[in-house]
Amino acid sequence: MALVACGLNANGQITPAGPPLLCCPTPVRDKKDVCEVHIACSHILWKTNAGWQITGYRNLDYSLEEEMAQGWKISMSEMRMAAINDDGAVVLREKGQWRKLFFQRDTAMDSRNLGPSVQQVEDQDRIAESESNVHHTTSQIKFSSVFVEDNSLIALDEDGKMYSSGVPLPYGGSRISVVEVGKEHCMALTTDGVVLTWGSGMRGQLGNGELCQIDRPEPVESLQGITISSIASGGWHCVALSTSGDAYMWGWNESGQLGFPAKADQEASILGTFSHRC
Amino acid sequence: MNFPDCASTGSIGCGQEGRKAESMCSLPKPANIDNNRDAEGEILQKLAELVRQGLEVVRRRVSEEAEEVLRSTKTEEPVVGENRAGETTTQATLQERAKRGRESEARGERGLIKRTREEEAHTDEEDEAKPLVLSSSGHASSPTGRRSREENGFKDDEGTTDRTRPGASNSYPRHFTEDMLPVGVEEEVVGGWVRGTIARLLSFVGFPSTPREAAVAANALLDYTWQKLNTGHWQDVPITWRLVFTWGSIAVVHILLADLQLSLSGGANTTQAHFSSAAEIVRACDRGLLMGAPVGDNPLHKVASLFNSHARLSATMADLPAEALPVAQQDEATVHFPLPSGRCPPLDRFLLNYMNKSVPVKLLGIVDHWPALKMWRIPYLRELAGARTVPVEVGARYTDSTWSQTLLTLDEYLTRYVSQPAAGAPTGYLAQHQLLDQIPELRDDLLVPDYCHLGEEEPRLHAWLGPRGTVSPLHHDPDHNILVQVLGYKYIRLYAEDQSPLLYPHPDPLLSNTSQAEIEGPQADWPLLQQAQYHDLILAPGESLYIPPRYWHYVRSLSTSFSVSFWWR
Repeated sequence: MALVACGLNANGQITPAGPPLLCCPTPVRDKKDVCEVHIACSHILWKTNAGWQITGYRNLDYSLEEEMAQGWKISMSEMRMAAINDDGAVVLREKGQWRKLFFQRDTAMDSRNLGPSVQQVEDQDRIAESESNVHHTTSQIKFSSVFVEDNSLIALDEDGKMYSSGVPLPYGGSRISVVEVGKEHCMALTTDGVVLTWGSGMRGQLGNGELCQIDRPEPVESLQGITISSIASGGWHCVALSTSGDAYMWGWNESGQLGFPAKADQEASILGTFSHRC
Repeated sequence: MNFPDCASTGSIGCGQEGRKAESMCSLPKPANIDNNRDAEGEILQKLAELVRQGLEVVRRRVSEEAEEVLRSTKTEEPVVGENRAGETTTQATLQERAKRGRESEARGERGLIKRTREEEAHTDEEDEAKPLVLSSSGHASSPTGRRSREENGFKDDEGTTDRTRPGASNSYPRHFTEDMLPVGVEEEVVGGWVRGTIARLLSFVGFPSTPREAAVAANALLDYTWQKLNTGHWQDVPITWRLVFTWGSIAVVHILLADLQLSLSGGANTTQAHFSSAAEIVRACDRGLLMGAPVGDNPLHKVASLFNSHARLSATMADLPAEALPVAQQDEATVHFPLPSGRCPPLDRFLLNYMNKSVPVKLLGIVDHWPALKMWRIPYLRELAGARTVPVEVGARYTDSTWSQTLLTLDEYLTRYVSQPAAGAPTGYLAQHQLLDQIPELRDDLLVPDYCHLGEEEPRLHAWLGPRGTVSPLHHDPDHNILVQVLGYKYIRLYAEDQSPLLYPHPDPLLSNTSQAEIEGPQADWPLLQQAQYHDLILAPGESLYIPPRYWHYVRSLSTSFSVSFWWR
């Protein structure tokens, strides 16, 4: 099985000595038995049989790979990395250390703002941490996966329940199998194949025909009756794949990400004018 | 890329070696005998001179920024390397690891870039023909000062080398080092990769060419920052990200200028390719201006106006002689309830009778001396700013669901939407744009009326340029407004604030300052509107209108029109 990669290589994240831009799929030969890859703008995290390895920009974090175990479930964005460790706890990488995040089972009784997905995690986690220290009998929640973007973090426990900012998200009882996080919105897929969206809808990324923001996960009505098998989210758009092999897409199309022609005059990317040769 | 002079090097990949070789073995262009080629040669010579000027503008501004950063950090206590009481063990171990890591990084991944930069620095020093000028700090420059700074200052040691080294202010141009950040850019917000990339890019400004890696990194930085600028509401975007976009754009423009300088002296590219490069430079400047943060003495303005003429040559534009003719009123409008007018009212009368009492008035004679009244014609605008990128609103009204915004060059906009609109095509309006900030030369053609200084804050200027038939739906704004008509004619209708219940304001909070009614639409559709009292008028060139805060106004252009509005509070 061969591993190929293309894209930004200015920090040596794909191949250490290669050109800064790989515009054609290039075989990656210096890593063996790669079974998982996480990509950010300036760095890439690889999982091999021998352990974890990070390439590209390291942000002065030189002990990261030693402090990660093989069985961890990782989620990574450009500025943030989170994981589910061997104890089923959610940990966040900060200043060269893994910090454990605290969650509580019940939504707080006062009106905590669960707002759009773009929210500050740190403050809320400290509040949750101090509050959970008070409840001595809180049983440990076991998490199965975590999903991050630069400004948001969603954790999924073993019962398929979603948490954000230390507390459960309010929505119907369906079990969630996977979550996708965009720049300003979130998507979730239930075990029944229903897609939920929430957050900012300014670019149509919620898929509900409106442009407003919704604060709690709601099913995408126009997909009612269609069983979705997998979902993916870009910065401001969404894709849902049905069990019969149809792909549904919605959201922003400013550079043609939905597969429709984008506006003729708009440059798709600043990078497009750069002449290159691999 | 073609490097015919260096075919002997055999390098196909054209990485750093190829470009370095080209700069060393490029020969001056042989004299041309052909007349056409002479004219072309003159144009290209002029372009090369503009490139030299553009590079100087950018380098000087970056050097000033570096001075500013050093000045502000000299007042702070150096933090790194000190043993502070209360430091936790994790901090200490982190610094230890960081030190180990930096040493291995200097040997490993970053070694390639560092080495190349130092090589180029030594090669190009002899080629630097332009005499260094006096720096802003008043010290005369010397080439030796620059060399010693390179030996001492460019290495990325930890600690305080550059900040506290005595005699540092003697060298010009002041260069960015990798531990410096432009004023206002916060590392905690932008993260390590952005911070390192922008610092490294700015440290290259001042060298005739940059490593290929830098151009790719610059574009990646701008792409990533562009995502941040598009996250959430524009007014909530932290200024730090907009500053990164500005300085990143300045770095990209510098790379493009240096590339153009190389290719002009190399003589390999076609003339048309050089014009395209000029257009690319103007586009990069405008992108930085439109999405970046306002920065004092922004070099992007000056560079964009330097290359506007050559950039325009890259696009084939049809000649439209009708544009030179004076603009007459083309569409009809009937004035039912004329608004009283006043000719140059004294400032105190204006404040007491109109501003304080929320009474609109048509103002005559207040802009009689504006050069703009004589100069602002379509051909003049094209020559001054034809290649500049402007935001255009497409669609009949901003309340329509099909309304959208797009970016066009001014040349494209004037041809496609003003002078030669296609039949049945939607209207395009260059509306509510700070064109006069983007193109400061236009500001020189007018004077801000004294009345606009009667508030507490400085007035903001907006330009409104469009064809006949543009409509601004009935709406109100929170600030005082003087609308000056410079070119063409507009029909305007005004309703007082107390008429609001009859005006069908939008229920949606985002549009609550806008009426749902079509003012000149079928009267039966909007019965309440017919009971409302209003004033109306036609604004001709040289005439102005004062609109009080929260006063409803509706505007329709009756010809090609160019107006300037002054908002103040």
